[in-house]
Amino acid sequence: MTETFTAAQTEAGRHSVEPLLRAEALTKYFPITKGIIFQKEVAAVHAVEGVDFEIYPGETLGLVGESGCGKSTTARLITKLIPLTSGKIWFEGQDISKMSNRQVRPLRREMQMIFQDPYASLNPRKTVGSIIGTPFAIHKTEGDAKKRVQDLMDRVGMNPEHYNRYPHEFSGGQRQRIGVARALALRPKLIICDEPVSALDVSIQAQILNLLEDLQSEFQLTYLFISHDLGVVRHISDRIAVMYLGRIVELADAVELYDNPKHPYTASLLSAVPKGYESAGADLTHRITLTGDVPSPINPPSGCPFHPRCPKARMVAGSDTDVPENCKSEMPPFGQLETDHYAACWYPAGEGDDLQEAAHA
Amino acid sequence: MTGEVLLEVRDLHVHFPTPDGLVKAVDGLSFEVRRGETFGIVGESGSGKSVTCLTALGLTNLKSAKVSGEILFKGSNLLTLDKEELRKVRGKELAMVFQDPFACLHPFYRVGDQIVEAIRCHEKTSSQAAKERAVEVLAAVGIPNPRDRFKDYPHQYSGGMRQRAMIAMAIVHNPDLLIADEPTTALDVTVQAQILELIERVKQDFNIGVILITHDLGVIADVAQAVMVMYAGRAMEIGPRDSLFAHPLHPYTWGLLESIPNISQKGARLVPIEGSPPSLIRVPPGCPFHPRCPHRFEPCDKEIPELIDRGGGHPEACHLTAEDKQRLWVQRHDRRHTMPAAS
Amino acid sequence: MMQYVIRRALWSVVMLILVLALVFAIFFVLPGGSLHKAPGAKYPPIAYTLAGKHPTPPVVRSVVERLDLNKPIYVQFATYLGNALKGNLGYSYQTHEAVTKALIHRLPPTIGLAIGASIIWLLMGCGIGIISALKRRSLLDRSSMIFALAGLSLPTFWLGLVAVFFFDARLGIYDTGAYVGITHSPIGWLKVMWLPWLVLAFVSAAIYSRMVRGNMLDVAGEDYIRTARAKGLTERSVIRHELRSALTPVVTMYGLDLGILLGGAIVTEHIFNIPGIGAYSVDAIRDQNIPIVLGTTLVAAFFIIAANLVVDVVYAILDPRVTYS
Repeated sequence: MTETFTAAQTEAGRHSVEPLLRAEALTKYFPITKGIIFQKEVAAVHAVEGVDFEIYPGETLGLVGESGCGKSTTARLITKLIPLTSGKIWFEGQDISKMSNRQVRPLRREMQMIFQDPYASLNPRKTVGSIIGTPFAIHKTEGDAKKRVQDLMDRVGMNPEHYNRYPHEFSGGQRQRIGVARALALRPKLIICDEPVSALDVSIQAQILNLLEDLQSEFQLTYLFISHDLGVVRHISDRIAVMYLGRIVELADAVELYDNPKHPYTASLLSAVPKGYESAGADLTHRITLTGDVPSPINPPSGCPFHPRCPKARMVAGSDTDVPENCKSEMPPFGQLETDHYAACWYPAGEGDDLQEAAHA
Repeated sequence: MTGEVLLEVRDLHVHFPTPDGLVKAVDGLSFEVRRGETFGIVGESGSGKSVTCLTALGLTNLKSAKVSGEILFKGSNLLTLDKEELRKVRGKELAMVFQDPFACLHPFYRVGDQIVEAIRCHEKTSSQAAKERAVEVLAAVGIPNPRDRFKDYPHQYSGGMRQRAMIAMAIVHNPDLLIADEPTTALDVTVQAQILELIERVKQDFNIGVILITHDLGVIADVAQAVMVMYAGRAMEIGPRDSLFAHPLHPYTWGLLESIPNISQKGARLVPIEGSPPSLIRVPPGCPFHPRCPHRFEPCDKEIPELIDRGGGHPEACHLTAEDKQRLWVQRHDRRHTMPAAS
Repeated sequence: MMQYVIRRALWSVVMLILVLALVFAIFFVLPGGSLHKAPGAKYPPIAYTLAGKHPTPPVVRSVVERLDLNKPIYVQFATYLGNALKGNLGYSYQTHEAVTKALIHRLPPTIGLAIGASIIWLLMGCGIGIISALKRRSLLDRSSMIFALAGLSLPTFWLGLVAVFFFDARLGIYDTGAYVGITHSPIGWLKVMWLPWLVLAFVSAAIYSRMVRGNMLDVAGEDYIRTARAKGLTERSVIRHELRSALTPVVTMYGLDLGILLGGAIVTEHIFNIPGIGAYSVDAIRDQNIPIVLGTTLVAAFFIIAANLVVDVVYAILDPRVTYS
């Protein structure tokens, strides 16, 4: 078992290993209905649209994107917290997309979640001990629950003597540790971390990130790590998927993605992040500043969803306002451009593209 | 490049009595901001960065706040102005933009009307002229079709556009100083870049001073010329950007820099600051950072280090000697860069 | 918007029919209901009640014939609905008076009572609420708290009786029991109505003042109020911004409360002898006078449903974020 975990980290090994979780053409529409007596569907929020990815045992798959891109919906889909519109999910080779809630329940032991807001996701009227111990009770595991809870608390860097305290007595960072301990209680295989450090101060954020890394190597955990913070995602992920308007537009190894982004959206996103002082060219002119906001997922643009904001498309068309016809009319396929580097773009970014120039034009 | 001193804060204390004890939100803070510069204030939540600016504008929520010290704005002490005098400064010479553009515009009034209101509370102009001016500033901050969007309600604007409208409202009287309190925290990165560029452009076009409050050191490194690092209501160090990032002098700043995952390279393991920020009711004696400081020694838990400039225009508040700092920073720097990559 | 209102109105008709069906069913299904045929009985109790003190089979039969009591319940209900559509809500079992006419007759006192009282509580509630929010922790704020507590803990029936005792029996400045219509003598009407208005308004004024105060304080902490101050608005304008947000929800509550009240203020009408819908319905329920019960229910349900619709429309006008399509 342990061999596969280390093997998953290498390029060659990945293909010989069964993915822990595989999502195929994952789609979720939230219908918008109209009518008082007879409701009819007039439109739908295209929250997630044909998303494919695999998570291999022992790896951390990062999922980045801006608000409303569908990353949290994706997490809720694969944990079966909300029903799929269409698509398939395999967990450990088992198709779980058609399973009922009852059938899924045993799988919940294997798949746990850590949420963004440690304030809102902990019941304020329960003690820390009973919050962390709840999974034991639900899944009726044997043994001394209190002892196991205290071991967990110790493991996540909390004082086990605080077993009987309430969430409000803890700081934000400590509360997130409670959330981690709860997720860890049943020794899951996959932990979905939905913006786990976004609400925390930087110094505390680093503590939690280190904790997650330590736990991963200790318990051979697999993470799906969702965040809008590109620095955090790069730090923790082995591979990264970039989402835009419900679709994965690019997926690659973390280093590869950051050094050699293929999709113009990824390139813009990366260039928009303040680089910090140590990087060369720390000033605003090196940014590819996108114009406008993310379009509404109710009526996503035709063709490639990024085409109205895409600097590359305008560059290819040689126009400030227009983009090539296929960008407007047809969704580009999610193709492998280099080894294990996938992107959905008709005109992937290449060497020497001056996207800043195009964006500022 | 930078001009005269616009804002000078001298030994500012802001204390709030609460049932649990006295909250020392700001405790002996001094700094100055010049025309033409972006003065960045960084610190974690509860470090007193917002309270300082809200106090300058007389906008602290609690009437019970005990404020002492001086906040000199273009020579006059804002703390001694009466309500009406302060109101005349607010929004006219000293303007502020807040964090959450979703909550900062009144949901029931049209965006344009809210700007018109801002114009007419300082200037006697006809509503028609004010409307023209509002459309002009909306255009200036990059709102497309300003004449139509003037009539929209805030919920019809996207987050980025709301923040643009907030900036339009703030610059409508050509203020001398613009305070931006976490102006991009609630926005997506691609929109954040647009807003930071806009603030930079406004600063240059109007030759004003900007105070940029943020917890994001990356943003500060990108746009600020001078930086103040705050912790528990005090300044840990204040310096020009280059000096501060190349040679940070305070262990807290070191800790902050080492906590941030690096976007440019798959970094080494993060070095977090141990523990959590202190309660402002029970601020540790001596240096407020000493319980979390790996380099603390004899006087740190007793004497409060004063903010001293040891040359270089980069004052800091730490008991360590310059030589010690030099040695420790290099040590930490080396350790960080020789550590194996995470995972 | 217009389309929305029309759809809601149609829906309201369905609701009214459902309400009537429910009332009908209650009398039919529940044991002791006057349409409920006990096992073994030939006719429901109402047939015997209406046949007089000594019901003889022929008389009972004629009652049954006249009221269609031998027909299935749904036929009876359909007949009732059909007549109702023609404006005929049936006849009182006891007095044979036309229910439609009686309702029309009894509507003005109820409307007068409801509107008068609601204006008083609205003005008092908002006034006290606003002032106590602006002068927080002042003497006035604290006294308004006592007023609110009193309002919440003194039930109307008690307050009404005490008021009658005090103003009528003791001071002699109010004359209970002689209702005067507004068309008959406006002054006389005011003389009869002022005390029931105050009594009825008291509880709601207390609730409203607390609500307005709470809303005002919540709104004062909103970011957009801080923005208003930061841009240099005068305190007057800032308060105007606060009121705009704090009073909008009051409109909803006011509309719904008024709708409920228009269906009859049972206790107040009873105590002050006001011949309105509320008093009428109580008597009818006691007598199991089904046509009147149905008629008063219809009126009450109509006002509540109408008030809901009006409130929703007004809210969409006041809050630009709300749109109906």
